Amino acid sequence: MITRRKLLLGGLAAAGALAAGDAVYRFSTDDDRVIVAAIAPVMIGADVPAQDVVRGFDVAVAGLPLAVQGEVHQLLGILRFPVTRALVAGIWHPWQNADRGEIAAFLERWRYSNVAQLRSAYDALHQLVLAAWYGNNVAWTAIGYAGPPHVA
Amino acid sequence: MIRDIVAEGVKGGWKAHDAAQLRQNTHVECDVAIVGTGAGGGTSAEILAQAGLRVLLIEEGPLRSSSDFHMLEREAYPQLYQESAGRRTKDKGITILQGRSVGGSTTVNWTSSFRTPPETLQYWREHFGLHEFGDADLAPWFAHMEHRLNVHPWEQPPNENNSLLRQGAQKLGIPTKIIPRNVKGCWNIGYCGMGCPTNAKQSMLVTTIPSALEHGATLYYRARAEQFRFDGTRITSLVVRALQSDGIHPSAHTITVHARHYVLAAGAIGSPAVLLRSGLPDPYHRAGKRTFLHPTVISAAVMPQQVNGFSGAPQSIYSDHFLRTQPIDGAIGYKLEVPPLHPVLMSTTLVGFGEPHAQLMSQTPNVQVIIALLRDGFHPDSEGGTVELRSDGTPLLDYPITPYVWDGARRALHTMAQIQFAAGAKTVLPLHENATPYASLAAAQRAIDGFPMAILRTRVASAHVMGGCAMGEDAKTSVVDSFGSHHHVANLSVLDGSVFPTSIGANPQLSIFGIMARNASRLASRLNG
Repeated sequence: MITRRKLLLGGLAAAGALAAGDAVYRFSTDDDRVIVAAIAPVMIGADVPAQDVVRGFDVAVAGLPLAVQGEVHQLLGILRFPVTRALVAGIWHPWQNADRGEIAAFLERWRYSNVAQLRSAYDALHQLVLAAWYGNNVAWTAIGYAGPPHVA
Repeated sequence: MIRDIVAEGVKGGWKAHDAAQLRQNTHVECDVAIVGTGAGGGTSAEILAQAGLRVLLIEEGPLRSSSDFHMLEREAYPQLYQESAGRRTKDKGITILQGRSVGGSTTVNWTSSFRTPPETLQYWREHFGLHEFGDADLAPWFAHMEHRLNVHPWEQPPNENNSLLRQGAQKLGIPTKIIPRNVKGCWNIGYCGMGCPTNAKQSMLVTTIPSALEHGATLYYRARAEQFRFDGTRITSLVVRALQSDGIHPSAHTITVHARHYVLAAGAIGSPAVLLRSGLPDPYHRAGKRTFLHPTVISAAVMPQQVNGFSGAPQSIYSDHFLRTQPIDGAIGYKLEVPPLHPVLMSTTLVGFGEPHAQLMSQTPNVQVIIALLRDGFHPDSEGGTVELRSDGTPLLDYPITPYVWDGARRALHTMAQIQFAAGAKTVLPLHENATPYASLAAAQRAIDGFPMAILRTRVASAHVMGGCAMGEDAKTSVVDSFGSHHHVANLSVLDGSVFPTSIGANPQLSIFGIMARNASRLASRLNG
């Protein structure tokens, strides 16, 4: 059971790590990274090192064609601006303070929306966040994947 | 120590240039300029270069070779695939896996090599005037390329993921066969989709392209063909845009190509896009029409035993049973195969999120997956998709999925669940957002019958993009003739999978190799004549 206090601490720790990290981001802004860090554990279904996911997300998006990067920018914009965040995503708190139940409800609503664009926005988050996590070696132990064999 | 034959060739003086390194605009003259280095471009390049023609190859993606192939999805997808392996159709309903590096999709495909099925060729003869496409006419070309690329039915035992397809099918009386693969000395490790680290896969990257370069061909990579310049009868030049080293942003420099003849081999999305950007004559608006995908639906199962679908030759068993249960122009049929199961591909393809998704991922070694590839393009209700241009000139495929196709998707989900339970599955998860893992066939069947079949509810993928520059004898319904020559532009041929007037009904690489070998050989003698 995840308490609100735990989440808040997790959120703060993540934000701290983001600020302290010296990673070079090619795509995302600080605000984008807070959103991704908040969604990541809910999408992945586990407490994961937010900075790893955020970095993977950034790399993944930076490798997309510019037109598609523009679409991801648009999506993150909707999630970032308080009015659209509340009205379109149904997230009434700033991402740092949103609790996991609220985020899960938002993902669930978009996933089953009758509006195909919202389903595709959910799917974009699904694809980018999961790729960002499961592309990382640190994710593999928990799923019984030993990584590639040695070839030489 | 594995030899990196591409790195050695570059060191040894191949004319292989990274366009990202250009510091000024440049001009190239040649006999034949080929746009694209995949199955069509690679095959054509070797034949044309061996015929003594000066060949130029233009590739949008990077040049990567065995020592770069680290078997890591996070590296391979951004480097070797269109749109980081996340290319989507216009409405985002279908994910398209398509290569984007020297060697094109042959660098990253799963090596399945089928001749064009006889019933497909028969349909082409009857409906598109392709009278010279008899089985016997094409057999020598397929045999030639099978020999060139060492295509043989896979001789080692199939991995468990493939074996379970065979076992389940057998129990239901559904015949399966062994897949022919284009490999030589394969290590059976299972990472074909990330670029072969041992050079066993006989892709264009290690066969025809090195051969063309040995024969003096020139290659520019990270170079995107923008448009042809046309004087009313002939193409006078091709404008190529250099990309920056990230492979994404255009650079300030161009390469202007002057050739006697131009070959489009940029794939079934790329080739129509170059035509559309160039505004070449297209009086019947055929360019980019009837693009096919083999829309593919997916079923995941959890087995009592370890499957380890990330290990071993990814595809070695298939069934064409459901392509034959009805006429080719009847209800849509499907081919059954399995995919490799690595964490990124698997996690992004599985439906759902949070705890249920994590739960399934935690059982990765026990997961078995079957895919059903729907044979599109043989029925009036299966006209395929249309390639359009975005405002920045990049292509976008609009592929609406019709009720005719959805009907097949639902039947295929039923079939796959049946096979998986017959093979001993504990649970089966048809990849639909409404699905949960079902512990019995009856429960799965009830659920599948009730699924709303719609995009972004049913998971649909494709690794086979075909059509869009159809060949045919009638210019009203096709873009090129039966040898790939453009109907309205004298010095242009299309030599890739975009010329197929329907989908193939099998993994298309050998169809491209064989038919383009035929058409490139004809072009070589024409240019030398």
